[in-house]
Amino acid sequence: MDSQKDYTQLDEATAPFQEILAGVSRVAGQAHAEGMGMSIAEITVDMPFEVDVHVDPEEHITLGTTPPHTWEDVSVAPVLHRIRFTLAQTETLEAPKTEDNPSDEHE
Amino acid sequence: MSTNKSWDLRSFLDSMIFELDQARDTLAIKSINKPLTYTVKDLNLDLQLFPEYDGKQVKFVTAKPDQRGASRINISLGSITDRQVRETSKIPMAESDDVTLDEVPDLDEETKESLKKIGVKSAQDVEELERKNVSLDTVAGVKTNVGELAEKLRKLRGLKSQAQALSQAQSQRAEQPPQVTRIGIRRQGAQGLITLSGHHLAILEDYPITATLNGRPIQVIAAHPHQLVLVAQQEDFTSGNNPLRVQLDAHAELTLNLV
Repeated sequence: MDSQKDYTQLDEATAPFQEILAGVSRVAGQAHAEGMGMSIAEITVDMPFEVDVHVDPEEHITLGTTPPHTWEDVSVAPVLHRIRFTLAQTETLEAPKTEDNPSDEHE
Repeated sequence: MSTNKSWDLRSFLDSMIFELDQARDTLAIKSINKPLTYTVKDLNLDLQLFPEYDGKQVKFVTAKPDQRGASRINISLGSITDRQVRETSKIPMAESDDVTLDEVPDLDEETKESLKKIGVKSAQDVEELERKNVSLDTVAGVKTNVGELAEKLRKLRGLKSQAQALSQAQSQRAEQPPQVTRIGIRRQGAQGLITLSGHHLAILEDYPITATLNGRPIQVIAAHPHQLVLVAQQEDFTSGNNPLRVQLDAHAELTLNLV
């Protein structure tokens, strides 16, 4: 896999896909009131989006994405794809897992 | 939008995973100073595409504005653990001593392509089919005898590992040339004990070192990196020059003249 990507080839209206992901995940995640607090466990984003798939001569692909540019009816309608992703707390995903010991079976 | 070229699904997924990894890296850096951070747990894409088939490979073109009748492709990516990755992935070819089908010289391109289409790419894959007694002709319509192909690949793998071992030995020898600093000859009854001391003399454990004195084979009784001990019979020596040849390994031979 490529270690670097050339995003300059993308349509300037789009951004690298990672920026969309990172942008959405910029949330505070916690709400505190006196004596209690809450945190967001998961965030699920489901949205239409436009995509630019740039293929270079070596057939490597660079992905550019953007939320829809318009919600109005236009004479040439853009193609809207759909993306859904879930963001979870890092510590939830990285919680140490218990060893998979085979259960003792007794006859 | 930029030019609408067709692409294959594998490259698309590579690119998607690259973007995900980059996003995760950014979020991991953020988590150093901010205890509560989020990372991508799963991702689902619904894409409007037109598939193309050129007789060999299926590719896709992203639907352009106002194009109708596109196919809907759904791609779901979920998080898996390192253990799951190990369990479901093969060791990359470069790290293993496996042989690819492309390395078999007398296997025609059509058969190679047919085998690759059904996921058979290496000697390991063919051996797995052989173990399970799969008839490719019956199952996949590929007219190849699995047993014969497996045997061919095994031979090729043997040759490849021999060549790798030779090349390793050669580079090791290039880095560690033999050096003799002292020669000792001691008479012991009817035999002469020749001791060669120095550096990097016997560096390959498995290589059987051989020696001749005046063209006659003599015994090597001890071989170490710093010392070789050879035993010659009295009749092996002559009164004049006594050329001694020691084959240390495939890439190093010592020639000395004992006077």
